[in-house]
Amino acid sequence: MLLLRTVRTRISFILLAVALAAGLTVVLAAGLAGCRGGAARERLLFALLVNRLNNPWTEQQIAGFREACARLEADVLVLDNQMDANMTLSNLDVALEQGADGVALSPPDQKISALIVDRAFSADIPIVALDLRLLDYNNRQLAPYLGVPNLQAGRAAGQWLASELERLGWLEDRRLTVGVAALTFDAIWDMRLRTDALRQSLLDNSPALSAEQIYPVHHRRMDAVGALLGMHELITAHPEVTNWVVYAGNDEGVIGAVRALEQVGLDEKALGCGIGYGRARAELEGSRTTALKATVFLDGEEIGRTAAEYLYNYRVNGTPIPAATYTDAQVTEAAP
Amino acid sequence: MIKAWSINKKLAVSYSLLILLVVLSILVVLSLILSGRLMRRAQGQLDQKLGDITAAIQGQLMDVIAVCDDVKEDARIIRALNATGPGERPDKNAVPALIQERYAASDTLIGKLILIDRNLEILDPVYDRVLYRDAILTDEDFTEFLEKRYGFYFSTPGIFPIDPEPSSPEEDRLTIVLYQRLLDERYWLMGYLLSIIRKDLLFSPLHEIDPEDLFTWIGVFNSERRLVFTRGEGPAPESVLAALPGGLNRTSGIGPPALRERPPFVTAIEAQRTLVAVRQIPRVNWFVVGLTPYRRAMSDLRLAIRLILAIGAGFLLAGIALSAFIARTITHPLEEITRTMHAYDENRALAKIDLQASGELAYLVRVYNRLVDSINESIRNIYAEQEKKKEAELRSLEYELDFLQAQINPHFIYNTLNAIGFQAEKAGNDAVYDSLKSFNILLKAAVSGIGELVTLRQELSLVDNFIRIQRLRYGDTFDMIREIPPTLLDARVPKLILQPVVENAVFHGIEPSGRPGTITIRARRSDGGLVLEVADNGVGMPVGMQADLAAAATLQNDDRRRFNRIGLANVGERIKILFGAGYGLSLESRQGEGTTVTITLPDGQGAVE
Repeated sequence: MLLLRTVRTRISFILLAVALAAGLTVVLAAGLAGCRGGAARERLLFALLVNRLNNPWTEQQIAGFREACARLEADVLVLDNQMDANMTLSNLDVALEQGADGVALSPPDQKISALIVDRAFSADIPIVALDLRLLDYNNRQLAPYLGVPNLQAGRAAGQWLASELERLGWLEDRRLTVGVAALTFDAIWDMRLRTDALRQSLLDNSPALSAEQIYPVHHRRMDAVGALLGMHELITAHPEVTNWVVYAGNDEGVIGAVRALEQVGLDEKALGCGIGYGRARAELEGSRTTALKATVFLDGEEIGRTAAEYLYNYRVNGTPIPAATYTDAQVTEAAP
Repeated sequence: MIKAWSINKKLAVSYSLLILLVVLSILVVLSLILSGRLMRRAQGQLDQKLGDITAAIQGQLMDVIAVCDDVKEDARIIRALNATGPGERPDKNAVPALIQERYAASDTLIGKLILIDRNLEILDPVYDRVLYRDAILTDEDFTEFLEKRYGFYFSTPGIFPIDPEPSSPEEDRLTIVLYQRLLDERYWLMGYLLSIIRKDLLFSPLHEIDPEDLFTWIGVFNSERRLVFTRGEGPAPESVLAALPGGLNRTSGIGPPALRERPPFVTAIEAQRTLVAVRQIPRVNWFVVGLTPYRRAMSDLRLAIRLILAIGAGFLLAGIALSAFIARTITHPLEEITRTMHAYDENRALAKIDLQASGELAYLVRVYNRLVDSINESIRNIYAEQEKKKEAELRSLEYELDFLQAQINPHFIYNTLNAIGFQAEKAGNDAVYDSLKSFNILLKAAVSGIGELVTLRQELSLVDNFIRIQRLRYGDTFDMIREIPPTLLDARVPKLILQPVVENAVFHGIEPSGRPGTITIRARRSDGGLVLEVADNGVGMPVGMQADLAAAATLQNDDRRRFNRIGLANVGERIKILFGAGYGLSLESRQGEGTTVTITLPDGQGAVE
């Protein structure tokens, strides 16, 4: 710099330096701006394959999964299986092609368990099953499972309904005709475990209740509309029932049934208990008094969060994923 | 204040401001460029995403609507609908099973299909109950559908078959009912088809939207501008509609409302700048509206601006340091020069600048130092001249003193000799008296001023006085001959110019010969000048001595003094001083034969004033 000889040259140099600085600023800014979009991904990517994007239970899992991944600075890929086995396998392929470092999925059908596990293990990535176990034809578990304690949840709900019926004395009141609407979805094993456990627990703890008083309502898609329409059919089919007890394997089922009871004015003589992710709990915590009186809360966010942490710890620290992990199942009652 | 700053500070501040200006300019330009690009990108993303969502919803709606086409072509259903004659009551139990078997099982979006014949008989054993039938047939949406004779009509969200209270929460509204007319091939009314649509499933594409990512609020408005579905936290639907072009306008009568689809745009909704994307679902005249706060859409721009500011601040700091450093390199020589000037101003000490400069400054320093050298040299010369002048003055004083002293001595001698002459005359010694008289005349002539011009006659008189004195010593051992034209006797010649030459002839010519001799004085004119010759026939001079005498005029004082004994150098020098180099004294001598001294003078008539 001192070799520059004249004042004019020095001033020119400064101007040149300023121009270079400006140019460098532009280049850096543009480069950094470009890098934001173009930088190679170095963060881990975890995929979550869900059965239905619009299912609230699934939404909870997604929220928990996203929250944990954000905390662990990992990227998230969420794909919708649309309750379709082929779509699930296709989504798994997509996740593997995207370079997923781990997959958590809710299988729509346990028949494709072996295919799922084969693909994941071939790609050398960990896989965690949510809600439904991945089993082989001998019912042996093929991959870690994260879900709800279905039997425990069903039994808890059944016990609560039995105790509530006993408290209300409906079964002993000969002026009343009590009918139990059991909204089931037997195609899904977990759902069936819940409702079966609930039914058995209810019968075991309610000697005055006979199995004939329990009317199954098969509500397709496990949604509120299906339960609503199914409940209307049930109500129409059993006009003699004065007091309805409704339960379901999920919150949507019991909420749809309760809405149907409200539409026909039977909600004040009804007793509803659900098992679910919190939609029923939110209604219980609201100011409105409905026929929904209790629910066994299952924390979907906790499942999504735990799944992400398992995958991350396995990838980063090599921590083995437990074979089976269950969330809590506690009865939540409506405020008195 | 700035005026008082040093050049160094001014330069540093100027360049820092320049860099700041450049950084700000870049910031502004990049902001403009980036904001435009980011806005276009955000608009493109929103528009594309909303387009995908709209296409998915439209596809689902079209699938539902298409069910009607299948149903009205189903022969068994047509038979059931047309069995209105006596004894032809349709089997209400059979129709639902038929529909369930054929359609509902294959379409999960539709929770239930219900047929109503043209007589408004509900062909479903469940919903034909009074409670349900009244609710269905008196429903506002169904009534409007019948009155306006729509081909199809979507109800507002509710709960089939009995809508909840208007104040009931949005999440309780689980269904949307699609009412469709069933027309035969002759376009005669056969009945109505009610499709109970799962609302959540219909709008499932909207569940894919992450409110934290793209849209903060997304809503679906039906053709009546009623909000049928919403997701995310956002403003009131009325505020959204008010912000849309033609959002609140509804055309009267049948026909699409005036709401227009347009590219994403920025507008204020509830006093917040919002990026709005609007997409139409053409077949059903629904609109999907997505909102994103402008700040979020521009979050990348803010990041870029912060980045540029950080980089700019870094460059600014570096620029300030660089400016200070370079300003220092530029101004350091100037400061050195200023310090030197200041020192001169304070102490009158003009010192040279010892500085490793370059370029113009090096030139300035070089010239300045040369100027200092020149001034110092001039000062030294002045001092030397003054010293010389002082010395000359001193010497002049010495000369004057010598001259005065020299004046004193001859007068003392003159007076003394006059006293002696008086005693000699009184004693009758005429010879001594004459000699003293002649000597006094000579002495008086010598004292009275060497440089004076006298006539040749006067000069010859002095020579006579000298000869008279010399006669005392030499007697008549030499003769004096004069060959002088009378016309030249009045010519002016320097006083005592001949006496030294004659003296030289006596002492160095005649006397050393030891024999009587003759001294001849001649005068003549030559080339406008006066030539005087003093010739003797004495011993003459050796060749070396002649050369010495010839060069005597050019010798220094000390050298000349060596020749004073013969007096010739003095004469020659006086002539040159008085008349110039063209005149003087020449000598011609032959050893053993004599010497002739020639004096060349200007014309004695007018050469000298």
